[in-house]
Amino acid sequence: MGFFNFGLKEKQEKPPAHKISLEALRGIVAGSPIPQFVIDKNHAIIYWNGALAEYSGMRADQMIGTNHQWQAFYGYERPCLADLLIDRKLALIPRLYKGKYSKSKLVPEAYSATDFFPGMGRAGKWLYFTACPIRDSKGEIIGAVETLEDVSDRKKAEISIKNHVGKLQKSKEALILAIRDLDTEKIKLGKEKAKAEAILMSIGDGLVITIGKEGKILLINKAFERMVGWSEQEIVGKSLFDVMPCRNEEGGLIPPEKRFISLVLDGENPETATFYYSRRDGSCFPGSVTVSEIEFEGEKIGAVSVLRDVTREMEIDRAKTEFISLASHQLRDAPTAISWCAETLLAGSLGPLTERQKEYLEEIYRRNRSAIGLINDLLNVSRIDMGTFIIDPENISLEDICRNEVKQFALAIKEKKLDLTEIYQDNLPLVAADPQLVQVVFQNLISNAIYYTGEGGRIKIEIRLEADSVKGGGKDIVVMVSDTGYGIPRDQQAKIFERMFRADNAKAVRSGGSGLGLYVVKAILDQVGWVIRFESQEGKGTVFYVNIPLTGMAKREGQAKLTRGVV
Amino acid sequence: MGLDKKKKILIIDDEPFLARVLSDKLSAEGFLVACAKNGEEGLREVFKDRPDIVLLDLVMPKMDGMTMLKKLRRDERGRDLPVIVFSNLNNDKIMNESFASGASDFLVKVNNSLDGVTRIIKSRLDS
Repeated sequence: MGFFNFGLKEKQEKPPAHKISLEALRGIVAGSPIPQFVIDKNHAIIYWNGALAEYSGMRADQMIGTNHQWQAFYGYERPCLADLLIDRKLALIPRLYKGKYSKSKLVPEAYSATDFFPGMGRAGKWLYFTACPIRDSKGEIIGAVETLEDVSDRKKAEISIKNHVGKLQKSKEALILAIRDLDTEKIKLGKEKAKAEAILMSIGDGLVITIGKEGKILLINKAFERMVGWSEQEIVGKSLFDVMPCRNEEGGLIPPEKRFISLVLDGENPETATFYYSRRDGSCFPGSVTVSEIEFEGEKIGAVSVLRDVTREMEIDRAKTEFISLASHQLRDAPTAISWCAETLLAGSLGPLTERQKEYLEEIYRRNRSAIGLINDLLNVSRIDMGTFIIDPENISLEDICRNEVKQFALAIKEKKLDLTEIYQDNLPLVAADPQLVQVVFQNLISNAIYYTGEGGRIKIEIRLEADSVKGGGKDIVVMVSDTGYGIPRDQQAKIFERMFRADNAKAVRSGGSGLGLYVVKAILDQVGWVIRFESQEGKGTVFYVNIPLTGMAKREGQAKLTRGVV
Repeated sequence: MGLDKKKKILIIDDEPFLARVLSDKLSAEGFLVACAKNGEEGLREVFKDRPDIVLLDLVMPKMDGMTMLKKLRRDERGRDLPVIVFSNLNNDKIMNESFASGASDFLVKVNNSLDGVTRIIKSRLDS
């Protein structure tokens, strides 16, 4: 029986110096629930407790006396931690348990390690084991004791946590990247927004963005501020209709539901127009306004209005119109006098005339009428060029207007012995069109047919409903004016609608033409949206077609109506 | 046809020659003719010896035709007098204003022969 001095320092307490009997010791080790074994200084197992036997599956009677402690843990013979302590091969510990061991802080000379034993259990086990040398009273190592603890669960949890932490870390990194991307996007968007705003702000025309039918102001630019005298923060959020009332030419207030912002939200597409807008100080200015809708996810949510102060333009237009009116007024003075003088002389009121005197006077009269016609044409052309002629549609009968024009030329038709036929389809619908403009068009086409057809020639005028519109979408009424006259030479056909252009053969036939007739016709038809075309062969004749949609012409405000020419 | 008394026409025009040509023609047609060379004179003439019809030019010095017409209509004596505006101005605004101010007709000089004007005057006087 020996005494065992474990060399354990239990905190501050020194174990009592009285002997612990081997019996007692055996009992302690044997009954401990903690798996442990004891080897002597020859590495032979002297104790293998029940807990370890159960744990390792190796019975005490199998193990005691052997040095097969490795069998319980390893698949091959190698020292356990306890063996290393017996042999004082402390340097081997780091080698055999690299990164897995530690020197106990509690128990001097004790070492602990954690390792994975793949052969144990079903899929291997993690064991935390502590070995400590046993010294006798003289301090000689007489053995070593090793205890084990299954820390598989704990280790699994640790690993799981580590994995999770790893995953979390990766998620965190991904998030950081995503956030950084978003930030970049945000900055980019911010820059674009700033750019767009800068552009909007600096646009020379006034711009206002409104939301909803109440025309709630969202944004205005500098030009708009200057135009109306309100600053952005003063009117943002308010209804544009309250802030800036709108009137028509006659001074009538345009109600909110009729303002372009409302119309556009109703799905209409109003053309650019000029209205009179009130400034902050109550003064008024004419503004040309264009409005388009803002769509968001398929819905019309607001409108963008572009407004231009056209005070100056209108002044210039007015000045031009006045000048032209005045100029044409002056220009007409002389021809009036010439016309009346010639008329008086030709009537014989101032005495009888010789044949030659009569001839010369007639020439004076005729040429003068041409000049008057030219002045009227020029006046019309200037109104056409400026786009300032009024379009004032009424429900008209094209047949009536056409018949009326033909009557005006009755004398000329008779003198040239022309065979003129008129064919008007029954029940032609009325068309919304400006009667004066239609008159000018018919007058020009008919007079051309008459002037450029030789004696005895044939003229046919036909108005009928066509099956297909030339522009698509429904029927057209077609007005056809054809003649058996001189025709337009092929190489001059392209220019026939040009201002002041007269084909060579036309000049030969009639010296008085202005070259403006077809220009005026084409310009009018272009501006009202109707189509004209022709077919012609030199020496054979010409036919002009005018396609008139059943919708007619749209109303347009302007400075003045076109003049009816002189026959 | 009015046979008893010759109808009187007042021509208000600042162009002496044109006024004379018109005057000659209308006299030859059997009318009494008086002339005034601006709106001011015209008004005086109307109130001095009332004509049956007035041929009124628009562009005149001292008082233009439009002003004269408005003044005429404001006066009791001039309210019902037929006035034919006879001018070489030709735009919608002027025409509308003329009719709004009480003109019975608007004729563009250059587009009307002497015969034509005479016919129109006669038909106005007959109605």
